[in-house]
Amino acid sequence: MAIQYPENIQRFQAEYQELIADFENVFRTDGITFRTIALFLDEVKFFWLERLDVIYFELEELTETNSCFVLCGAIYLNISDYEHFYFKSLGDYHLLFDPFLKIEQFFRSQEDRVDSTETIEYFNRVFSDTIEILTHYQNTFFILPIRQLSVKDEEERHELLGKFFLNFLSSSFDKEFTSQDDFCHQYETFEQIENAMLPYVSQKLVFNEDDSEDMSLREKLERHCNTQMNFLVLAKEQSEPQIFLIALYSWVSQIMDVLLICLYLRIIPYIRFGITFRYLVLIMYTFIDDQTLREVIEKTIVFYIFRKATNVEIFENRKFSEYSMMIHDKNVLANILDKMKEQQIDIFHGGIKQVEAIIQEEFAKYRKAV
Amino acid sequence: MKRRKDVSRLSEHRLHKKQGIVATPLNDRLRDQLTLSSWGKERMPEYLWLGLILLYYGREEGLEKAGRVLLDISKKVHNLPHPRLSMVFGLSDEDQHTLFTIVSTIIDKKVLSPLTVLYRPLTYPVFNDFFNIPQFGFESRIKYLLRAIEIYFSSGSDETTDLRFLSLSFLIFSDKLRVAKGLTMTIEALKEYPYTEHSDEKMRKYRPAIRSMEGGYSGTLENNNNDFCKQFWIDIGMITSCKPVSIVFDQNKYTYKDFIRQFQKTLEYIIHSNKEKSLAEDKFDVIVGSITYALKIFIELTEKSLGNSILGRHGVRTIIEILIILKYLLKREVSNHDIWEEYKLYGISKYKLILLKARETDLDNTAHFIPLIVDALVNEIRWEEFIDVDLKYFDKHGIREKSIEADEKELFDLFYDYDSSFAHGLWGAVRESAMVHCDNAAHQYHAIPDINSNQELPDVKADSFKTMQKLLSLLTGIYNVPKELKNGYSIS
Repeated sequence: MAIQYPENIQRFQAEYQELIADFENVFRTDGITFRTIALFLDEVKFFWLERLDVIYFELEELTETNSCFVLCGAIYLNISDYEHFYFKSLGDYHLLFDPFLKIEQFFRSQEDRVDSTETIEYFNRVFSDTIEILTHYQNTFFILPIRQLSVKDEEERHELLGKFFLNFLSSSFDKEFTSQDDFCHQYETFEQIENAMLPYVSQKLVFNEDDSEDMSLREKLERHCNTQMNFLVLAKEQSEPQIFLIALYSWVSQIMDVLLICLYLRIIPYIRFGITFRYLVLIMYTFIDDQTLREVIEKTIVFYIFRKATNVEIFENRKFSEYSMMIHDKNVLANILDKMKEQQIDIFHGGIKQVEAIIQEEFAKYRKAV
Repeated sequence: MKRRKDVSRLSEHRLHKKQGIVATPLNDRLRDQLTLSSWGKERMPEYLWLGLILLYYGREEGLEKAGRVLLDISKKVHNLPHPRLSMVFGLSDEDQHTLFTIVSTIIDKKVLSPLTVLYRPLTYPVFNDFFNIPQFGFESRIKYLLRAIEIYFSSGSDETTDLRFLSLSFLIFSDKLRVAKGLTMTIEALKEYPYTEHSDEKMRKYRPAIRSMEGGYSGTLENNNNDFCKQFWIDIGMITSCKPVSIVFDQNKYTYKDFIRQFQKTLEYIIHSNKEKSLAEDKFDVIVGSITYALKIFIELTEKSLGNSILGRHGVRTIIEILIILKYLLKREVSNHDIWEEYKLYGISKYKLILLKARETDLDNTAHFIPLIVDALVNEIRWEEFIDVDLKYFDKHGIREKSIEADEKELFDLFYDYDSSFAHGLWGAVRESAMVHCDNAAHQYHAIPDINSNQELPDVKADSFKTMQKLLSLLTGIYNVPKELKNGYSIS
């Protein structure tokens, strides 16, 4: 019997929908608590681990000839803000990290260590968005255990990220730090840290989406503490250098981790969140000598430019299914990259405005086509 | 080769000629009464919960705590016939609640938490109410469970015997197991086992007694829930990865170039100095032709580095067969002068049968059987209409009988038969060459298809070389060759 890839992945989306529906009932009767969520997460973990091998195989086949984007730097897609339109606009296949696995850690920690009301509220948003995807956009977006597919040994990965972070830290201060403790011994305040940092890095370092370059490190970090979920609880009783390291590590390790995962699975990160993107820009020059990574990052940048340059209005009052079908076989990404090549644009050294123009010109065609 | 003491010798087996079976002494006596039951596969998952207690607390404290748990359960949960997990889960919610309360009063809840990976909240809510600890990560629980499975999978280890002892102690507590007064050794073993260290000499008697008692009792259990164990292995197997382990063998680095060159020169000399025979004698054709065929195989083996491959085994098997048949023919020619021609015709008749079938079929252009060539070969000795097809073994004897007559029985027993498994694709050969061991106890150490050809085989070149040496000495024993050729064989 002939099957067509990704037949299993598609079937798993339907099975996953059933699992979530079962738990919708549990949540209705037992309530949404840290405990019921943790029990739900056990089922989710088991569900994916059981299917991991065949998913990996199918994904490998899929990525061999297709551009497969994965949403990174965000927990969930957020259908209500037309994000599915944006995501669907470039590339052949669109993958999502299982959002529940991304927030698992919150529910595995002691309840008193996090703001439980806020965390449960967030879980609710993730749950609704996931149901929405599985109900209305199943097989348009594939929810997959992306991390479990690519990271076999979490401890090893953690060590690797730690080493990379220390290198990043040392190069940002033009100074050799032997460990994070070593860093904490050398500075006491945000101001000392800011003064010791290389001016270029200090200027580019952001912790909040609307941080401006002339803000002080203290301002940026204090705003960060107040806006990030559970950060205040985490930062309690931490020294200023420790707070700086926690905040910086979370962003630097996130982008590094994304690159490692995507490289391993031959998928391309779709980054829409400004801070994540800025950290990509901060670290990307270390990697672009490698042709594969260069191409991956180039596509990520193009997608980001598209996301920022495209007004949501073009999607409003539009049926997603029609848009999705229309854009499906247009090779938009390849066309954009071809034009960039024709115009000899090296995105790593500028030309953002030109790329923006190319993208708008390209999408103008499809606007007419509808 | 060193003899294994725990298995019977070939001479202790019994030959049943009619059925074509060589039976082991055990099967021979008990075949009808035997029901095989595997501890690891069919019982261990049922007792793993007790194993987790032993693993967490260590032997002494573990036996004491688990013993208390089982004693209390035997007193308070009357509907439990045996401390098997499937039976525990089969209890009413109320009984489960009572049982788990006993367990969690005596042992730390996190001890049984790893099992919540397999027995999850939707299906086992009461168990999860007690033992699911959210802070205990899913992967960590799997890791712990894997460790326990690895320890308790083997049926005869000390740790497993402790577990098997616990299953018996529940029966004693609930008065379901009574030992006759006369069985003093059994009574002593049951009494002393938990208080005796494994290093103690007495345990050499106690352990087998405990194991055989547990094994014997398990056979009498009516409610064996095989589905429960099957599901256990499926679930734990599906969520963990295979750990393929392949064996790497060194390649025989000898190229045998000098030996091959000398062999070729010898053949060349014999062909030229016996040209008359080569023109008219069947015996010469068969001997020199077959040996040349063997040499070509040996050259392919060495030049194409096939020593560690499956095809290498096909090759050495054919070389051995040629040696056996030539020695057989030489012995038989004394009484049958036509045997050399008969042998050629026998081989050709096999070709003829294929040709006849091919004439009635449309063959692909790409097929490696070329009727035109085979037609010419079949009709080379005589017109095919005068060639009968021989469906039996040549000279009515199989290769085994021929090897006895050729005085090469050992070669047949050890190598020909072994390599025939590879030629026929029998399971032994498939398992050895195309499947690799999975070192994951949760997968019951199954075998995985070696699709990426990581598994190698021991090199056959040395054995092929020895057989080729025998062929060479057979050749030079029949046909004279100069001393220089005879003495010049070396390997490099």
